[in-house]
Amino acid sequence: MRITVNIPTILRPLTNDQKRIEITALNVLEVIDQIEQQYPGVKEKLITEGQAHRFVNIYVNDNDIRFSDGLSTSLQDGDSITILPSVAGG
Amino acid sequence: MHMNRPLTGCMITGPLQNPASDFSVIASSLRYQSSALGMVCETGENSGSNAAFSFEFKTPHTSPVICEVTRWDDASRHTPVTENIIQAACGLMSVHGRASGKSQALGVNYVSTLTAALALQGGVAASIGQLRGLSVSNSSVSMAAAALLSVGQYIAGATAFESPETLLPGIIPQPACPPFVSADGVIFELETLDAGPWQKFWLEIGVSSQIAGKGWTAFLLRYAKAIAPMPAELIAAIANLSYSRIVELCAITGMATCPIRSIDARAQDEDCKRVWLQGPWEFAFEPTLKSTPASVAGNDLPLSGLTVIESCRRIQGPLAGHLLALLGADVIRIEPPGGDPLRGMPPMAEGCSARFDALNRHKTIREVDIKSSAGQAEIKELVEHADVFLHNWAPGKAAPLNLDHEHLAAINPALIYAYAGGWATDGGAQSSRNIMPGTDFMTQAYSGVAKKIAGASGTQGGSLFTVLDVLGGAVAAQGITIALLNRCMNKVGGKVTSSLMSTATLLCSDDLQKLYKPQNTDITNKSIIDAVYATRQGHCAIECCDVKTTERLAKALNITIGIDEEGFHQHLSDLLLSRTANEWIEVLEQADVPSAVVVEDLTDLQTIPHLQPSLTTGSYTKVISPWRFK
Amino acid sequence: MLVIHSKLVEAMIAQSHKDHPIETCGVIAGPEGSNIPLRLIPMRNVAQSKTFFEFDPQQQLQVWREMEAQGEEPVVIYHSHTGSQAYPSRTDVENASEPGAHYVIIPTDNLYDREIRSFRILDGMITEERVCTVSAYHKLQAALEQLIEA
Repeated sequence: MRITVNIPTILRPLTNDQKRIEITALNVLEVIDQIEQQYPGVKEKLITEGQAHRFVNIYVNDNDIRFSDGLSTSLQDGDSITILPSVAGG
Repeated sequence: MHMNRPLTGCMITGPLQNPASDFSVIASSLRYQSSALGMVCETGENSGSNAAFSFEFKTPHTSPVICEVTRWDDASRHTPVTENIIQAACGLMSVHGRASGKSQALGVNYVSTLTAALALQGGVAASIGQLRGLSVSNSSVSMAAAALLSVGQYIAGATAFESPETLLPGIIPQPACPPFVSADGVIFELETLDAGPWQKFWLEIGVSSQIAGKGWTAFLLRYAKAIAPMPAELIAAIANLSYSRIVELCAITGMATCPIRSIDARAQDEDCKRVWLQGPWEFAFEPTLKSTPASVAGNDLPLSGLTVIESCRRIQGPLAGHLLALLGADVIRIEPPGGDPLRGMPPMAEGCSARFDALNRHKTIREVDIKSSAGQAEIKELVEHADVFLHNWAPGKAAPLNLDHEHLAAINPALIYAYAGGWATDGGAQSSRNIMPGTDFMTQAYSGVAKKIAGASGTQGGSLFTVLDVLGGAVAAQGITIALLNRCMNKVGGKVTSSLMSTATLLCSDDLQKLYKPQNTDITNKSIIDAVYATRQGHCAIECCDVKTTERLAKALNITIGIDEEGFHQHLSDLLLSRTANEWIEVLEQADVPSAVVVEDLTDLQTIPHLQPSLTTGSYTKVISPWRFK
Repeated sequence: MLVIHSKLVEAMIAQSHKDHPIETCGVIAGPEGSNIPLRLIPMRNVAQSKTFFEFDPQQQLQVWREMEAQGEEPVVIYHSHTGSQAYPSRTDVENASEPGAHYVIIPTDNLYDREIRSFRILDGMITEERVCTVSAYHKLQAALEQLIEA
């Protein structure tokens, strides 16, 4: 499955300043593993102990993966993934 | 892993999360120290009457002690400060500047960490006082007093009656002092406490004995003078060798070497995280005593009537003993027959080295040959009636002398046996580091402290101000006081170990926190202005942490350029050249801007009115106790 | 320095007081690279807390997409502090993920602070910066026009 991934500003230093990356993968976790292979350091910013970080939002098209199958959410050809760090604070 | 946290059940309460900005680093260090000791930290209001920052120290057996932390000893003075402003005002910049090229900040939270340690120790000591029949409910320390204490022996050297030293910032052109740099660019320290290895080492490199000898004197005296002007031949000769060759030569000649490492590298060491979690002291307590010595405080100092036996050389151990004496303890200092040779090190004041006297003036001296069985018997006899035995011998030396913890605890189970070492908290010989002398400059290099200071100071290595010896002395005294409180409360004797390395961990606890637990990291504020400026006469240090302070500064100095316009900082430094540091500081103090005249000549300290409560003049200027109890 | 139109400041303050004691939050978008805050978008605080805020993730996706489509970026990210000083909290620093943004905090409890304050937050380090409120973007608009022409 060809997937487009939108990279947030804060991760662009790790991805040679690329805003978008094309990946072939079957689910969200695979996408992240593939990015990690090309651009080491990305995965630890997104995942701890097998779970997506509390303050990282990952969307498949318009859908927050928390309301699908999380990191196992499966993908269709042409899907677009958006990673956005939550804007939060105290 | 089992950690002995001797103050479990005790608690501190105060504005530990949101103190005034000048106290945030002190509060953060207090939280770290208190949790390492097993205490509960509770957020509450300032409990002191007029102190800038205060907290309550409570044990299950005593009434609360209010621990006040003020900026200055002079209670009427409220001029705001920061770590760097206090370093400027009390002579630390001056001492660090001797070898680092100019008056400048150390770049570590030195005074704040020391103040936090002394403040907590004050609460602990006052509680011991209560348990020994004193009515004491309040302990106060000031940042200024802590800062002056840290440079006490340098002040002594600068003000001694006979031929005082005049060592001003920048007197040594850089980089003619340690650390050294190899041909392949490794920055490293060399260390030996004897002239023999030094001579052999340089001879191997092809430097004549005469020149090596000149370097030796400077090298040896760097502990006292905070300068080490090395003959250029030495620097040049060693710069031709690769570091691996230098390591080989050290092995052959008995010299020790340690590269300047980063805190990140130190954090990777196997023992580092354990030391960080444990805190700078390691406690081991023995099973319950039938009874603890029923001593009663003799005067109004909390440790009065307690006896400390000290067998220590140089700075860390003697300073620990000195601090216990300032808390009222009777300190008996063991010196070799003929006395400690450092007694004769100039400059002199009334027949004694001023520098030596600064750390040892409140002690009773006993000359004992600890290598002889008669000497050992004499020490055991002293220990039988003592409360604390403190030494800083090289690792592994106590056991062959039959003066290790096991032997002395058998004589006096209530004894607090204290070791103030170099490398390891456990003082054991298992570590490969123990073959290197655990001195201030080696531990600065190994721990990452040197690199941090170098980064802030634009130098290659750490400070020749004995950063870790001094803070290590305070940490050792604090550990002993804590063990004494635990003895009073829980009827246990025991052992407390601290070291220059564990002290370095304390000094870098925030950096290590960032590496080990980034999610709990404290917020770091980067000041808008934080610099030392030249003026028409003298230098002044100014720090503005936020926009409001910066705007007050701009208004007070009639600066019309916006504070974040490009030309602002240049304009400020140009403007400051037009009047003297004293004149500017008067203006800036009026505007409540943290600022100070940078004290460059340590003899000036005794002429500054608001520092007088901490100093007494005489054959040399002495720094008095940092604690006030009531 | 944050240069910001007074109407935007008024809007942030009004929104903060309306939501008090719950923390309010939002973003002000501006043309990419311009450093000029123009379009204020109040955000839903899904945390609905007196001490915490979090942009509604679904709304955030939509707003961030809009900004990208229009060549904008978040110039200001703002929220209110309803019972503490207008200085970034630890959670503010931990979650600061827009290195280029001005982080504005609006105090709604006069006990602590009266004025809005702005900060840069980079690698856990906070630096306060001056807030300059203007009634028009004059010079900056000229700069902006140049930017567009280029």
